[in-house]
Amino acid sequence: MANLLSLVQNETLKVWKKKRFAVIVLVLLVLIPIFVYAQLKISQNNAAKFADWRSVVQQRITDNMNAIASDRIPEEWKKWRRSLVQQLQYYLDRDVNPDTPNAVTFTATFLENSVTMFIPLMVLAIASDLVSSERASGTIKMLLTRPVRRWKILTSKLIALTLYVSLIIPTAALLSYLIAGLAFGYEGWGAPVFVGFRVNGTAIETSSVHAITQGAYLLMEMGLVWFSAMTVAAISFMVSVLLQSAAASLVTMMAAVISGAILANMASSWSSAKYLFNVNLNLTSYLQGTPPPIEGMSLGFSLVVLAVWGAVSLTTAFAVFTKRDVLN
Amino acid sequence: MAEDSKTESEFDPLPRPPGRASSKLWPILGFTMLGCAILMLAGFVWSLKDAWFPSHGMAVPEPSASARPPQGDWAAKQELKAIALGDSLTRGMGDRTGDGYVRDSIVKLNESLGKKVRLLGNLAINGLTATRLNQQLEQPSYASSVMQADLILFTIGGNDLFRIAQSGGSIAQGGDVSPERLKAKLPEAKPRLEATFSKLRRINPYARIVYVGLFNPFYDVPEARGISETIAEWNAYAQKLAALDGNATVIPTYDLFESNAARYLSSDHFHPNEMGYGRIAERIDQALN
Amino acid sequence: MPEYPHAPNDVILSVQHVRKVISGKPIIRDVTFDVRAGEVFGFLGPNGSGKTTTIRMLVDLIKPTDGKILVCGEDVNRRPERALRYVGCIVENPEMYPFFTGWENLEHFARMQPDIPFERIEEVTRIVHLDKRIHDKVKTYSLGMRQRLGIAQALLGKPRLLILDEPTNGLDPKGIKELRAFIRELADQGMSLFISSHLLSEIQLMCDRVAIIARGEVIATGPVEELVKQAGSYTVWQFDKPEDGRSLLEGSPEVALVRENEHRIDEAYLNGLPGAIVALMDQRTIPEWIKRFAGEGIGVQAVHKVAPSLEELFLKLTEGESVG
Repeated sequence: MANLLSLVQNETLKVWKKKRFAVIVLVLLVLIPIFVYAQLKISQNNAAKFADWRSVVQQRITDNMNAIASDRIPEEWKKWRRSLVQQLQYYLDRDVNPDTPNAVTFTATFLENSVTMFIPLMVLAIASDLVSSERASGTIKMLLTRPVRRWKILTSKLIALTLYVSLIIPTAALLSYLIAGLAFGYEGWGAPVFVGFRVNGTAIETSSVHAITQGAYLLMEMGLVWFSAMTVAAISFMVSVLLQSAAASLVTMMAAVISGAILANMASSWSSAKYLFNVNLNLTSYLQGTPPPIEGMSLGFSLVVLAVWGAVSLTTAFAVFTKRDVLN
Repeated sequence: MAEDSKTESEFDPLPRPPGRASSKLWPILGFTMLGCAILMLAGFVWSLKDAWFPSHGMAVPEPSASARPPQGDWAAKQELKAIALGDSLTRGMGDRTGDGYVRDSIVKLNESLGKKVRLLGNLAINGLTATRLNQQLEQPSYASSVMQADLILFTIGGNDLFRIAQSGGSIAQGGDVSPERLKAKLPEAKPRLEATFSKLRRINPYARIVYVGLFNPFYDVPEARGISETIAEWNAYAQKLAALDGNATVIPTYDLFESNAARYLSSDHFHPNEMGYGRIAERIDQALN
Repeated sequence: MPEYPHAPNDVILSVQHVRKVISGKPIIRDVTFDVRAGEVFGFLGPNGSGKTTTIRMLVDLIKPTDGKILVCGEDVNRRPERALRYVGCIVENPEMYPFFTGWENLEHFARMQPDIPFERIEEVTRIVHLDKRIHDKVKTYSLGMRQRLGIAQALLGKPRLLILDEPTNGLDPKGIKELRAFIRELADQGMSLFISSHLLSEIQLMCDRVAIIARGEVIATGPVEELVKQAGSYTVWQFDKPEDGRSLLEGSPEVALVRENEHRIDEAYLNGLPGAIVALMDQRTIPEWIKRFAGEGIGVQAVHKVAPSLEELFLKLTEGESVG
């Protein structure tokens, strides 16, 4: 009859004391400076070459148009480039710099680039052995022989997982902001970003495009990253319940996440791949207005696919966990 | 209560953990995480609202006054800015190093002029026609790039006349080049070139405009010899426009690829190779000194 | 000071016709027994007899296919959140979280039960004498300390029933002795203890009553002494002149000597007794025999009464079966 809050406290402290979150912070602290340095080099290079940002954007447009003109580039990449060109042109026409190098834009870009791989991997660091480690170490026998219903124990683990996922994303954003700020300055929250580009066939529809501040954009982006991270967490949670070994569940989930990233690049002709969860993880691309990897995908579609995968996973996890005999 | 149990106890009190860290950890961690979770949920809901029920959004600041074209004569300047526009010849197609005549000529000018010549950008697009270039020049952003230059290098017209496929590959294979048809295209192409010259001059009144003339890549094909006549007419027309402008130069290239085409043309038999581009760059350098 | 007040004959644990089939194979055929308040109940069976499965069913780790398990009247499998409040247990090894300190482990498990005050954690820590190391990480603990921490954890909720699965595994002789005394102490306070083992000698030393399980069935339940008596016990002699002693014993019709390969005494134990002669005889006649040996000039170095091994007991108990 122990209350759920105490159980959540238990699970949260266990993950914390296992130093999982510390590892994530450490990885971020090592990787972000590398990305910041790379970005710094790019902007220094641009500053040396181009008089102002308009020339940089114009050159980007030209380069992409040349790619579009080339026969060697696959049609789906051209589509992506076409929409990029139109967006850049939209920014140029309104005299708004789409990639001012500052800590806020760096953070937004960092999140965009990590939504399909990096964030899921960090989520896996916590989720993949949440249940299987208890089984592997045998502590599950202690855990399940206390006067608490099994569904409550699993719920507490799920809540703890949700809390950690919710912590990871702002932590990644905060660290990225702080570190990038050293190189680019901490300004830029109020700069405008255009959202609402709709991909419509080969053209980009700009009727509902409107400007929001970088700060708002970053918050929305974090919300979307959070949703796809939660889906990965839920599926990983189920795998962790189903599989005995922590290593096996980690490998399974990593394979799923990585294959999703690969599929998203080449699955445009296999249209039923859009029902796979790992192809739908890149929710921030809808915010940016880049074309989805497969025809027919939209924000609503991806959200539904992810939600269904998450719900099925959790249902399976609960059904199995509450009924299964603990045999070893 | 705690004191009671202590007095009753016959044992020494237990050593307490230093600072009872674990009991402080939970409230801090718990509230931080809860805050983060609420923040994430808020961001998520907001992004959905923004995607499906977009508001008007913030007002975008008015475009700042664009840069003014640079004035004054070259001699007084420390640094010259150059920009390249046009089609695949300016892009450098056929050059395996990717430099084209643009990079080569910038490097040469750097030495011969004794001052820094900086390339603002190469805005050339493969397969571009004069019609498209004229459209681009209407865009304020495109124009602003052109506006900043002291030197404008460009090629155009090849695609209007030869009507080649975007990559330029079809000519090399097919005998689609009939001198008659080429000639027939000339009257409609000429006004476009004129429009390009005048647009460039309107955008940037001070820059030196360098137009790289056309050449006949099929000089070695006997049936296609007739092309040369049309090319010469086109180049002469360009020359006339340049003379009218007063601050423009046409770089002749028709002679460069006549005698030893195989040596200076790339494998598509249409675009120059790196040696061919090098010769064009040499001419540009000579023309500007 | 009865810490666990109840009438002495209360049934704390009642196992009724429990069966378990795992992937088509009947692992537990029929297990029925009761554990009363304040008794130390032994659960004896060789490895693979269904002992572990039964214990796991007692604490809701495994759901029985059939039958009922009640703790203090509550059904363990239907209402584990109530029934398990009365139970403390260590299933197999006492696995605790190695990245937590002992104290954090106890706090962790205390949070899983209602109303366990801070003082109770201190109390159980003292009971198992872990005071000095309780704030060290569990990964630095020895096996014995882990065992004690496991017991502390099991005692947190002041259980009516303490279930210990092979508790002497991995303990040194001193530790085993301490554990025995500790178990007795808990029983004297009125707690019921359920102790599983595959060693008869251990059960004999610790338990009041015992249930013996073989091939998924309880084949006997009763006071330990009675069961051991049924099995009969060996008398092991050691003489200064083994040959003479042997021939004297052989001469008597009341004594049956047991050949080396036929007895069921632990080999390791016999190896420590050089020249031992194993006999089956009425142990009340031992004093007379000693006198007789003395009269013949044979020095008796030692006489041991040795309980049969578990296998012997099983053989006795299942004799009928194997004949029929």
